[in-house]
Amino acid sequence: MRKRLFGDEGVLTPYLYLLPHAIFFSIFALYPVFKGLWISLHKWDILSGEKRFVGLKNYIDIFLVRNVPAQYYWEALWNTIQFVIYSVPFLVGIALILALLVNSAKKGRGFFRTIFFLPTALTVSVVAVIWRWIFNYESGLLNYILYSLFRIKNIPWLTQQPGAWISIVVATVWWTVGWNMVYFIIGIQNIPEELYEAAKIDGAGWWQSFRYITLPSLKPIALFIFITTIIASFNLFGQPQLMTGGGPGRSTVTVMLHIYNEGFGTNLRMGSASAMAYLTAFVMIIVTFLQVRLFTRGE
Amino acid sequence: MNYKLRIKIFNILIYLILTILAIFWIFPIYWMFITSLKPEYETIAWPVKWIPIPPTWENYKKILGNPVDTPVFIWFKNSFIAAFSYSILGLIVSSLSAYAFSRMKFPGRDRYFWFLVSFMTIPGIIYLIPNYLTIYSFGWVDDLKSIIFPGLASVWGVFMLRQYFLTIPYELDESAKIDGANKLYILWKIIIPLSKPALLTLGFMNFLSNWNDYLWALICLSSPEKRTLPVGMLTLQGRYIHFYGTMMAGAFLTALPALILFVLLQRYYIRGVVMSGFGGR
Repeated sequence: MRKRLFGDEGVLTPYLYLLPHAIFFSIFALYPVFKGLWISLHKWDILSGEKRFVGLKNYIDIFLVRNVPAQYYWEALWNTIQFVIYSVPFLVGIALILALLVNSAKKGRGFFRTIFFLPTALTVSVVAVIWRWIFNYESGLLNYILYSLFRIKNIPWLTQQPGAWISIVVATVWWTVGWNMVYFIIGIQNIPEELYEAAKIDGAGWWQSFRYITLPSLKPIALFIFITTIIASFNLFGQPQLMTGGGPGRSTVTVMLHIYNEGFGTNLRMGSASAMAYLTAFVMIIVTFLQVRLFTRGE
Repeated sequence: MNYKLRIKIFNILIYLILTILAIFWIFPIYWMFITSLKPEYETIAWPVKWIPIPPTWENYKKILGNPVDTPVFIWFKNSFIAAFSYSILGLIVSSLSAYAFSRMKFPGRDRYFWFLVSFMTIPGIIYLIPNYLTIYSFGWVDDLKSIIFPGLASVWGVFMLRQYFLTIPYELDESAKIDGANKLYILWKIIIPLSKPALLTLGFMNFLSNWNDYLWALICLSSPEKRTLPVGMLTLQGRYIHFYGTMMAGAFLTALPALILFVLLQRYYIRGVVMSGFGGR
């Protein structure tokens, strides 16, 4: 019997079902990975219409620290890494504390979970506007409270370091920590109750149960949380753009913000922006790889 | 102290801490709302007014009554059209693929599936520039198409629905087949109705992510009347930068639809978070 190509049992039928997604995937996910690499090997300026193959020049330029965009790139990468260092401990630590607290509340668990998760439903431009208002120099609420309670004079949070980083970290933690909290709650709820009962019989106290059962059981979910949080922090863009404008100086210009300015700002230099994007992606992949190694060491 | 009393004190302490934290957490949203109800001179008044009496709708009128400079209704419409189209199209595209992956046998199936999944590990920063150039060459700059279609390349929906479809017993398909149903009919009449929770979850997550998208919409939409709400906020900032009451009214209008949807559907949203082994944000 000859096999049919189409129709309900046709050989090609499954591929027809895959086709719509495959089309979008090819155009907007598969092709751009190669296209981006190709662009990064060009001097590709939209404004002047120049499109010239330059080989690895864009990459080499980044490492020749004497040119200005390259200096700015490394500065931006360092700013981004600083943000990762400042934010990740809070984004993970506070999430764990919230998850433990919410989970020990027998009644109203859903209510508290909703409250802490609520800000994740906001867009970054709203988050930034709210916090800029609270951190406002002249009439912001925070300065008002600090003055009323402790007679601390107005602090220019957004235009001075470390105030600018503090503001961005606070806004970010408030906005996104709910995600990690929910992951931790799931992790805690998946720990078998018998483990705790067995520990209780062995005479373990609250701290010992936490130290020897809860924490080790949360290791896989914690790895996942660390990886996604670090990746998210590497992508910091909206908060500095909208809250500090990258300032004071260039101290909160992150890699995303720098690439955005390079590619879509006044210059529209797509070639060098692409090279920076690839280099950053490479750094991100290395960091992720190192984390997995670190977490799974000795297993 | 006896054991029961200790447990009781422990519980009260936990509720106390939770309540304080919850008040802190909700406060910025309260502060945004309350500022939006104050006349402008009162927003910067010392001592701070914690409750505006009487509340004023002046700020809302100022924003909504200026359709030339701040076309909030048009931004709202743009946001809604984009988010709604994206979530519906996303469901169609993903469920067709997920159906093939979970119910059909064909050469290369598993290899192709894991090939797709492996793309979820590629940092999104790489896509920004090439995808913009693609949009540019399609003539989609400043067009809502630019923020609807690229998202359909996402693998996450396919992955999530496939996992869900696999839990539906295959015998149901078999018996429908014996009754003479074809594949599309089985998908439509058996798989889809049984997958409502997963579809609702995915649809809602797609909606919210599109509704709140900032960076990509910022790049693609430039003229004021083509913007979505998150990007429209920039116009508001440009115009009302020192008018905090008005700014907060704008922020609240932008946030409100998502907040309502979130509170109504957060059960599903959280499910989605849980199911998203490796979803992004």
